[in-house]
Amino acid sequence: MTGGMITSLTNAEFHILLALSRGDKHGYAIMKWVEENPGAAIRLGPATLYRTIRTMLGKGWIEELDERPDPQIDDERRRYYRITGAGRVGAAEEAERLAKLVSLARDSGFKVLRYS
Amino acid sequence: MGGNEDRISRSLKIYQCLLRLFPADFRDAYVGLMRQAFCDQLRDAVSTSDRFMLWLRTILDIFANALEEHMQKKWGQVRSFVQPSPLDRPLRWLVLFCLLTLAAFYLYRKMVMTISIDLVDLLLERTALEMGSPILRILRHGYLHSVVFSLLLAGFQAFLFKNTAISSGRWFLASFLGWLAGLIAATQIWALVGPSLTGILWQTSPALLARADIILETLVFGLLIGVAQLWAVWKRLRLYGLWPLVMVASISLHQLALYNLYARSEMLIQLIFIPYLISGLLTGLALVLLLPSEVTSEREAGPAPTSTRKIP
Repeated sequence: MTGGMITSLTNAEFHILLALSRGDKHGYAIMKWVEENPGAAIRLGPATLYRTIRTMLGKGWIEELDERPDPQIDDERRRYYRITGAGRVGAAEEAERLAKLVSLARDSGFKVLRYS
Repeated sequence: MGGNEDRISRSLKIYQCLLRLFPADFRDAYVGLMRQAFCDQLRDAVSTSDRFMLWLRTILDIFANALEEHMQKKWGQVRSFVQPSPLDRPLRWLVLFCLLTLAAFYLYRKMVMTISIDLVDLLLERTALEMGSPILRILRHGYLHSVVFSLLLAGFQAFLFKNTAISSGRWFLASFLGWLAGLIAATQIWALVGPSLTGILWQTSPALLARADIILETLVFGLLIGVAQLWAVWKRLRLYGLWPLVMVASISLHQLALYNLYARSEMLIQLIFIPYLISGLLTGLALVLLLPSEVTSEREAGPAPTSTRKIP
């Protein structure tokens, strides 16, 4: 499924791609990463998360892993996800689009705080 | 520790029931994973307030997504209204917003006054109440209802918008409590004024709902308004147009419950629904008119362009 068209990312999709770009994660780990990341400022509920994951799997932006990173310490019922090449490109372009928007806002006289 | 496990187990049972709201095919594929994620969330929610907020978020998460899932199943791809992003800036023209809300409820109260007089006559006729009793005084001078309700509502909304709620959970909680407090004050105040009289009233008049019913009705109304407002936050400002509709629906449902109250008194006042509907529409209109200018311009400009590119 990789190689599909990326139109625009929803907020949830972009956050999930960002979370997975830091490494393979299962659903709850994605939720935790998004929740604890101060730059994210959103929360994903289980229903939102898995509906979005289903969509992203269908579009080929992420893939489900057959193996688990550490089966010894983890529940076998968990499913792990990995970002695909298409997902990386999409996330990068979305980040670029947002950066341009921020730049535009700054040029328009808005004070934009910088987050470290 | 055992108590904690019991609590989690009970919560998971409720969660499992709520997941039945999703279509069967989605449930088959994801119910186990969602349950697992919610279980993890429960374990992380240490304090009572954490658990409370988790439940609020979870219920909304389920209802919004289940509705969208059914819509997708029925009509194919629909525009998503599930936007987990919180509102991150205040509405403008806050004072005007509050004034218009107050005006809407003032008008609502004004229209209802004529019907209230009929109700007073009915109570005088069918119960042992006397003209000067506190209950009838409040019914006749029903502005107290309006003032208490509107001030609480507007005050809480002002507080919420002024403080630019970053947390949608906090926004929802405060909004819910505000409406709930307002409605409890409005609907219960007459019962609290004269406890001795209310005892007689409930014995003699089958027309009035029992206390538990009123509390339930109030709770439902408060919850509906809270859900409506959180919905607005979730959608950010893009789908703001639905907010007033949900508000109207919520208010109308509440007033249908009130209508039931009047209907039990064998009073032919079917038209009572109209002023209530108008009050809901006015409230909704106030919200639409006071949308931030960015939303208006976005609508006028049509849908935002989407960049389409081919991924190599």
